Amino acid sequence: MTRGKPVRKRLRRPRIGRTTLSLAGAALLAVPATASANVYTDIPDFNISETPVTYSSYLATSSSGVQYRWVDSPWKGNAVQTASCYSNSQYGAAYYPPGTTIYQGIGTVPNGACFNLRGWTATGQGSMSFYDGRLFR
Amino acid sequence: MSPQRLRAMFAGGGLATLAAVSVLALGGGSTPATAADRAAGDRAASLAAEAGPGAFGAGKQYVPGAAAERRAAEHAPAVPLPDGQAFDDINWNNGALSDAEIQGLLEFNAACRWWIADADRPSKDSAAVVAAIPGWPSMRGGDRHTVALAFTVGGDAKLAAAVLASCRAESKA
Repeated sequence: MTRGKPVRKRLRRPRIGRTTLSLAGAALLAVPATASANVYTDIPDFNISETPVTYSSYLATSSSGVQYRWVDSPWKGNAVQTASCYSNSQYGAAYYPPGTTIYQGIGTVPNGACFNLRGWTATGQGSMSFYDGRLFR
Repeated sequence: MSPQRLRAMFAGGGLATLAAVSVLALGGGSTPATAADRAAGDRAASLAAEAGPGAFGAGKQYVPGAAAERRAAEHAPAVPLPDGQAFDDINWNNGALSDAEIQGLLEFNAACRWWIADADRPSKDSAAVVAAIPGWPSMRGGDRHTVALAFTVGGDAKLAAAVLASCRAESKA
């Protein structure tokens, strides 16, 4: 057995590797143009009052539904809503009792649609400031 | 920063937009421009030169319904629409709205209509308006800006196609 032979064997690219790469490339090309993925977005200092407040506008990156959670445990009952940037019609909304930090669905927004993230506190509760949340879209 | 300096900065942005509009107007288009379209192009550039409306939640709130709709009617003349169209499908009853929110709704509604018009009946002037949209006050930042840029030359065509589809669906709803 010579010293060079095993080394040459180790360096050779396995045939299956080339095939796998080709298949992976073909699979990537076959992904439809509308393919999308969910993303998380931090919502720092979502200041809300009894009058609905728009935090900002966001693009839905999939059609699987938009969810929101408070990262800071809210001490007032509140609601968070998604509304169309185009028509102001509500896609959906959820009520968050005080202390609720779990994700809740706030609307089924079609992929590619722009929505306004709006929130407000329950009647008689006053405002709630500097609470952070997170959006799943 | 002084209001005068801010205004001068936005005026500079407006000149840049006007320059872009002029360049686009020299290029090849497919549909002859109407006088209404040309006026829309001028208004689109003027809107891009306006100062920003401020934060969405700031300022006076207009109660849902007639008050919000009246305020929208005051803003509307500054926002160009394709010939023969109107802001007739905005829901003014979904909660109170600030000036910035009202302006944002009018501008996004108009933007969708221009993106559709430019896709279906492209003209030099619809292209000029579409090029000016990223500079409109409510379209200057965040996802709104990303979306508006997708429709400009060299923009993200895949994103533009997805947004256009949602605009078409909403405008028919």
